Amino acid sequence: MAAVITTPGGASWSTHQLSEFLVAIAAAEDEATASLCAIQWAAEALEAEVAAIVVDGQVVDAVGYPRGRVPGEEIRAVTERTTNVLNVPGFGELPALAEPIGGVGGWLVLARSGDDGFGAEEMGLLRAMARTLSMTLRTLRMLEKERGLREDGEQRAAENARLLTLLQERQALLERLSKIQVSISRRAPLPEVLDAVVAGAHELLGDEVVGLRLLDKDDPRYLNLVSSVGVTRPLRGSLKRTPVGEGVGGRAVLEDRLVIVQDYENDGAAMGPFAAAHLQTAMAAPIHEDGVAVGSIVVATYRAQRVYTESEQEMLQAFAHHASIALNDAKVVDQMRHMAYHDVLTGLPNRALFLEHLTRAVSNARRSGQTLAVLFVDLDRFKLVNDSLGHPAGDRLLSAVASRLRRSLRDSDLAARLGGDEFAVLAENTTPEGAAAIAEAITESLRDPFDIDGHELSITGSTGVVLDRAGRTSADALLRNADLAMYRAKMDGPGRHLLFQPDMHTTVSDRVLLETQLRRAVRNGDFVVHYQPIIWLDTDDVVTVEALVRWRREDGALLLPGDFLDIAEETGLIAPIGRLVMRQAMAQVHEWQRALPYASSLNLSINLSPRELQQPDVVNDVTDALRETDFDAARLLVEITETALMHDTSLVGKRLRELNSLGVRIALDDFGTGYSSLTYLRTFPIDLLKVDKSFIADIAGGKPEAKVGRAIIELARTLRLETVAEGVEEAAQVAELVRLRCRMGQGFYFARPLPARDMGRMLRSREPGPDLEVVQGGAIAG
Amino acid sequence: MVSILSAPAEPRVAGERWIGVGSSPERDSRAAGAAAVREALQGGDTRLLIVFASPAHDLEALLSGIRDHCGDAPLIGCSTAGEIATGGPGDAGVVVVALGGDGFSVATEVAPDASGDVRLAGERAAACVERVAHGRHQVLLLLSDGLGGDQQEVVRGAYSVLGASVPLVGGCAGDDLAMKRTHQLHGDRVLEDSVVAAAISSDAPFGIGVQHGWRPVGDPFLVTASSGTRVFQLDDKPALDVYAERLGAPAEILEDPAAFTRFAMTHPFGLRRRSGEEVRFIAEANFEDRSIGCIAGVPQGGLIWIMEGDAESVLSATDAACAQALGSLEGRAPLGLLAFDCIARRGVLGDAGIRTEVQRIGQSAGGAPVAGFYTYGEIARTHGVSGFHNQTLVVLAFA
Repeated sequence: MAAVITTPGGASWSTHQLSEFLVAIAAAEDEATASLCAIQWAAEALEAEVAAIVVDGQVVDAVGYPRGRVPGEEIRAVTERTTNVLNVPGFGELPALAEPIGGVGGWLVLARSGDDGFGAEEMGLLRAMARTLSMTLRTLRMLEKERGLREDGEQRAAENARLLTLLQERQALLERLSKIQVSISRRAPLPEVLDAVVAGAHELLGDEVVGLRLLDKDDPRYLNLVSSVGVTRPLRGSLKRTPVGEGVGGRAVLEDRLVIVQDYENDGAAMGPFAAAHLQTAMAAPIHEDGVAVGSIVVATYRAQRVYTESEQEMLQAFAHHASIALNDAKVVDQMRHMAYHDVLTGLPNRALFLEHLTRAVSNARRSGQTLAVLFVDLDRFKLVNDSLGHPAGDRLLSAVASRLRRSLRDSDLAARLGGDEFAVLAENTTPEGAAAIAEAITESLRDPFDIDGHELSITGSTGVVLDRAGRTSADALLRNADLAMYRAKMDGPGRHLLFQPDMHTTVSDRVLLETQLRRAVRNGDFVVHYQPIIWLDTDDVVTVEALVRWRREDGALLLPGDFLDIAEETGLIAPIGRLVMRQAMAQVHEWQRALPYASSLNLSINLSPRELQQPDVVNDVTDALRETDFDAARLLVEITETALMHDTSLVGKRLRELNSLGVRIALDDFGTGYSSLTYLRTFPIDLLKVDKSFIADIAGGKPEAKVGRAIIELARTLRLETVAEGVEEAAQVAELVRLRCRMGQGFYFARPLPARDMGRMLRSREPGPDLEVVQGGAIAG
Repeated sequence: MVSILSAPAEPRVAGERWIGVGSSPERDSRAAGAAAVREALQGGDTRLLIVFASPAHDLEALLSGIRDHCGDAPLIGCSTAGEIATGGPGDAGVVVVALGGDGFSVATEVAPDASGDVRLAGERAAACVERVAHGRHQVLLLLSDGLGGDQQEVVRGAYSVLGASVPLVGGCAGDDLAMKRTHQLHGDRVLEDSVVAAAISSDAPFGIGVQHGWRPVGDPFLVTASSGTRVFQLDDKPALDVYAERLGAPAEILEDPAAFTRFAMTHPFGLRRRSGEEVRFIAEANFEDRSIGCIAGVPQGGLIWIMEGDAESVLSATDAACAQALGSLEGRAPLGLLAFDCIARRGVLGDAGIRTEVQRIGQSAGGAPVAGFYTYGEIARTHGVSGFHNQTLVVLAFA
């Protein structure tokens, strides 16, 4: 997947590049122009410094070298595979590769700086370019030859007509291919694209019969006819599914090459029904998926003495190539869809897919009047496993649970992982007894201990069951009620299951109450931001303030994040809370920057939770907040935890890079408490490390623990990352940190988190001049 | 207009490399040229003058004002769509950059009648690299006429002569968005339809930064008919109509050429490339045949997106371009920065925004002088063969 760059339109970048190349090269009227055009395009498309064409051992044209200094020997050596580097002035040795240009004794050679090598997709593009170039060069050579032979006017006219026909053919082919590419780019359904390929081949090659066959996914000994023209109905039945060993198309797949059969009736590859219908000539080209032949396109005719010209052979291969692009593209889309709907860890459907199925099941039940059940399973004390054995062990346990869960169900039941240690099961067409039996089966399936990394682990699950008859309850409500029932079951003790009762709503649990209150708080904006300064250790100046959210409850109590962030994360309320905090803090800090010369370059640090980072809108939220508060992105830091980096690495990386490109810097919070992997520091655009307080506590002492803290700070310095020491509580720590060249610190030694008013006072007290009038950010300071 | 930032802090060691920037808002062209060059000159051994001047000036008079003070030092320059100097951006003015000292060696070249064969003009302009001392670090500075054909061809031409050995940098002259005629300056001559070039060789490294800050929005179009820089059809429909319809553009842009140019400036095209989107500046539309004219080639058969940018994305590109340029100076402090900044970025930022932008460039420069102009296309080739950009900021840092 990593090698495939997809565009918003769907298809990968190389698809577009190829069609641009096809058009550009089609315009060339002589060999020299075609060659120059080809190297220019190949170099531009693959962002290479050097491109060259070698024909019969001679460099015909090259770009990338100072004029008159093209190293012919060295380039030829690349085509002979005796070297794979080229010495390029200004760059030194660059990795090079050569692709043969079939039929003209030529090679296309490229060399590129950077250490990323040429990927599979790029090789594919280069191959396709070389094939197109080969077709073009051969056409041009043939024309050249004919031009030399024919002298008199009449013949010249004929030759011109022929030239015109060839150019028109090429033009028609390109137009067809462009259309096919548009359907690929627009993500038209695969069958539609393949139909377009077949229709294109039918029109341009003019043969009566065209068929496209693909290997049967379940039984690759057979080919299925997926699209065809001119295969009459009686024939279609017997030809729908044929062994790979039969037919011209089968041979093209097995031998992975273009196959032409001239005397079809008497050929070994002939298929009975076609031979009986006196098919005369056939040609087949293989279609590839990930470089492996998985099907073929066949054109065939009942006319006698049909000869396929070279340009027609190229044409069929071009159509086959486009079918390959379509297959590969469809595969990428499928994978993405699968990823969007499945939990990567367990392979089970995720919440989104589960809800989709559930919604469909509810509407089916509404029609049929049947009963369906939703079971909500939550593992008991799963957090203990994570905390004691680490996340990898926890992950292995979750996938083991998932597979037992799956085995305990009927084929018709659907299991899903909703997130964390929560699973759900949908059972359609069931009864209250049937639902209870499923709950029993789930409990039973977990009874035997699990063997995880040599540890014998026992775990139980609490299950909430909800029933619906005739689709009376919505999917969302069913899942919520099952959740509530699970929660009540858990309160009764581990390993139990409980059927949902409506009165559970009236005896709402604390958690539900908390959730309700939190929702209301989000609506009313009952959150305040406190600020904890981060200090330059050498000058004692405030460099940054970290924004910390507090929930002001209706009873006046201020709740710390630890009291409500879990539920905010689970319910997704974290997103609106995050937006609120972001805006308040940016407006406040902007106010300080404006009003106080001391704070004119004050930075603001905000926290983004793992869940927030997964939200598709998070970058927009930050952008909006920056714009609305007129806050300078360069003064904003986003703090994330290592946990956030562990899931869905590519998505998180993308988000961080997007934030980075706004000018926002990224800080890694609590560094040292998670995996503390160097890979993160290299993979993600991290600017700053916040070293966890547990390492700072002992840093001034001689204990072995002190070494870890020091090592982390030194490591950060080597990686040119700034460090902030968290939890600084005494002067001795400051002295040691300064000695270690850790430049910033945060902790009670300097200040606790302060309400805006107090933070403002602190900043004001550091103003150099006397009695500066200060504008107070009223709404925030409250 | 002496900028405290560009004043040397200490007396200079004889022979050391130096860069000075001077500007003048003076209306009288001769006086403006004289004032700007006086401010720019920092020593006697001037190696190159680079002049960015508003088309509002009488360029002949401006050059003679400059010549009154600088003898026969080599000179290249061009007309602009706004000038950039250390003190901030300006219009209707002139900015002069002077490079001097033993550590610099310079040769200049002019290729006239460029639009006849743009590629050949690029090849001819690049010839001056042969004549410059082969110092450790080289760069070829190109100023061209963006209204005269596909400027990617200038880069291709220069590349065909120099190969990957010399980085290319520069921009296309402007005419305050009239989109009619631009000027290039070489020696004492005011030219049109030319490519002027200066090969600069230095003892210290150059750094080049290139960033645009635009992103694609919505579904792509297929370019069903185009030729060179002209786009005739998108998705088999007239390009202008498809473009205006997708953007819900105001009706006036389909009648008033100036309104179209202003609108299109902030709604460019983007082509998908291996390492990101390449932006295409849309210069004008033909209301007769409903086609759209760009500053660089738009290949037929490819997909094309409409791009969007905002003040933030454009400004963060500024910081990134500066950081990229300064990052290549092998740890040395910059002596000066040249900025080739697309007029479209100016369109997005507005007058206040461009002041912030130039301020930020100045901050990155850390006190070193800054000069540049608002361009109709930017040149920066450091890797690969492509090097013509649109809607982009190109920063050249001298160490």
